[in-house]
Amino acid sequence: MARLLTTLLQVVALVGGTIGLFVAANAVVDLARTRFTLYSVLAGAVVGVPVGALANSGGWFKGGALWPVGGAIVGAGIGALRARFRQPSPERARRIPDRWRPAIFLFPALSFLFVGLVVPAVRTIYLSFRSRRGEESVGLENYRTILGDSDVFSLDNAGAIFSSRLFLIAAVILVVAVAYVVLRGPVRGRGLDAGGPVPVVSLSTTGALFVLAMMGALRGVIWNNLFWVVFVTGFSTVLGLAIAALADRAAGESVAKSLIFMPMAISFVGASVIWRFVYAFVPAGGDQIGLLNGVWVGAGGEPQAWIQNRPWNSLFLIFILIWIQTGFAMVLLSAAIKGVPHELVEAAQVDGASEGQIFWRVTLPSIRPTLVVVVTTLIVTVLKVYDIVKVMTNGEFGTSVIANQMFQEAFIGRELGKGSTLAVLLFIAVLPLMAFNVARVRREGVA
Amino acid sequence: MTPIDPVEAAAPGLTADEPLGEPATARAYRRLRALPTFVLWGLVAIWSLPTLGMLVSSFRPEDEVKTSGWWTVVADRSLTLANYDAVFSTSGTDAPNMWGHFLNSMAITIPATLIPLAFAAFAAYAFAWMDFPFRKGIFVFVVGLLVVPLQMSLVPLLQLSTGGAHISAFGETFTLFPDLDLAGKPTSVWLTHIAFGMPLAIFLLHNYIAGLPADLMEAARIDGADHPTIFWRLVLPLSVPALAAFAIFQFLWVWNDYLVASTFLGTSQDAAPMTVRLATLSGSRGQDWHLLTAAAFVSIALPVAVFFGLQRYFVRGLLAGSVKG
Repeated sequence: MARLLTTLLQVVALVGGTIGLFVAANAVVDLARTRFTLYSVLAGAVVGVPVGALANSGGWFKGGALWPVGGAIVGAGIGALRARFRQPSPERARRIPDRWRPAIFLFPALSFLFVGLVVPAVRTIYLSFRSRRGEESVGLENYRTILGDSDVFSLDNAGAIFSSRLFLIAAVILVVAVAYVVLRGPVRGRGLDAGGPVPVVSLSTTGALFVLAMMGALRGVIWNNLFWVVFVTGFSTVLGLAIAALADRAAGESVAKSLIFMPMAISFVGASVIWRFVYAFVPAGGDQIGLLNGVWVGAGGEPQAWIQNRPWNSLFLIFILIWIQTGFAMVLLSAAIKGVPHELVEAAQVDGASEGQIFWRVTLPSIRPTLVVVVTTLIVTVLKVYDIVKVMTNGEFGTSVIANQMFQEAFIGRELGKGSTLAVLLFIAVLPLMAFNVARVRREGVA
Repeated sequence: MTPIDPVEAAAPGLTADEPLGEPATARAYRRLRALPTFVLWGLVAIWSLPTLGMLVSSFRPEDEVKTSGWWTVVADRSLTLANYDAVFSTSGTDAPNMWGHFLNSMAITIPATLIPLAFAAFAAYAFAWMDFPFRKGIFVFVVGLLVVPLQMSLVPLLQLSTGGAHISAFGETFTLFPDLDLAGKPTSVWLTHIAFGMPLAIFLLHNYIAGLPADLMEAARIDGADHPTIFWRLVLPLSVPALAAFAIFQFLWVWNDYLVASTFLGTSQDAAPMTVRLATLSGSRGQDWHLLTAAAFVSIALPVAVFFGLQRYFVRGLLAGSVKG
């Protein structure tokens, strides 16, 4: 309790202090209109404090609190001199408050952004080119070591992809789908018709099967991250869309959606504990306590240690994040579906379109912008997944991902250089999405 | 999907609940139409069962949790609160002490939610209604920061909290950021969360504040109100829904965070939040399901309650934060 009180006092001090400074700074710049000399002296003193503190620190001139105070006095002096000799015209003085106001409004937020995000990110990039504790430059050595580590990235078994049964099934489906699209022929004036359920479903199935084939063959942390991104993004989006469409105007819509959405409120750690219990394994002979083995054994199977059996154990971890993120996709897509103009749907109904046709030919194309947002947001979230792997397997049994490897290197192995390198790999992976988001915001003219 | 009923197959249309003389095709179609409802509620069941199982197990006696499936509770209804007594206990070396960790979570979450609200509102107003050089450029930069993985900041921020930042020049060391002795203190965690939450806070609030009617701002300006007055008297009261949306967002995010807290605090009893405690319990007492289920429920109870209570605001925030982009 005492701890909580201390924290609350800190909060009151920090918020009160900042708002106080904010109000004071606004009052100071307002003075420029009426009493320029006072404004100039005060502003000089305010600038003098940090300059003095910086000059003092580290012992250039040892002198403790004297230096900020000295800085304030010198600053005030300079301010007074400026007011005495370079007094601006009343016209210009009147514009001073407006010039400084944005800086006052932006300062608290931007200082946190710079100290907490921008500068550290730049330093991480710098550290990725340095040795263990950052003592000396090692060029690209960290990158070479990381990418050369077969636990992180390996193509050794890549050939096995093409001989796997999954790959064969994927290839057959692809051929059938292409044949279907070609035989169905071009739509009037628009080339081949790739819309509708058959091409979309068969292409995504082919993709999923191909990635499964890769999963059976390829080992390494970076590959695992790719599998997480593909499956969580794909399944959360598809399931979210399916639930949004199925629940739309159905009885009990809001109850169903709330229950699907609920895992969003649960921490990744909490969700992992919940699912570790679902996947719990008791050797044959004992009563199963995990739901999955309960069902599996009930259906006549041998009990399985789901989260230990490579290579498919990752899928059981991945499903936890699908369980969490489907609600997110559903909420956004449901809002988008409800936003499809009624006239459009009614026109299609008048033309005799079935519900399925309306979904594939009207709803789906209309909600494409939202689908894009859902997919990009999910990719960003999934790329940095850490907690689930940490709690479920601690990265054992070939389930580690980049973020876990990074924590391992940087904070357990004390290899700051390599840890930073792994962080930079994650950063490189989000760069295209960053560019995409920025382009979208500029295009929509929000800024 | 629906199994064929032999009675119906023999005498179509004669089952009691169906209108007499309905053609077989119409009946099949009607059943097919019900299929989506089954799929929907099937998915809802799959989505809810794990949480339900945890909740039920947390009330079952220890020896039963460990030896039989939680679904057998239907047959054997012995329930107890002993598991909750155990997770709140503070005696013993590896006592879960969830109440202590609950307070730790509060001590991190409250400042990390309230402080960015105030700061981001200033900035969002400036981006929306002020004119200054590079306004668009800086805002787009903030939008870019939205997706930077927090892993990019962890190592330097940990160094900052354990020793400050110093630079050497002219044979002397200058302190750019003082050593505030934050190592292992909750303060280091919530300061970090303020920084990480800032881009989304600015973005969300900006979307809302920029959408306020321009006529209103113009009228206030004509009446002689300057920016601080407009901000405090007009914009802040009008932005309550957006502020609430972000507050819920940030609350859930910080309460549920594990990575930042475990990086800065380790597993310390005095500072670690509930997520960290739950994760260590899962490692050290991985088979004690009676404790794990109760501890998990204690840690998710507050966010789930907030979530159900304020779902409307949360959804609004979600939509404003992503769709309007």
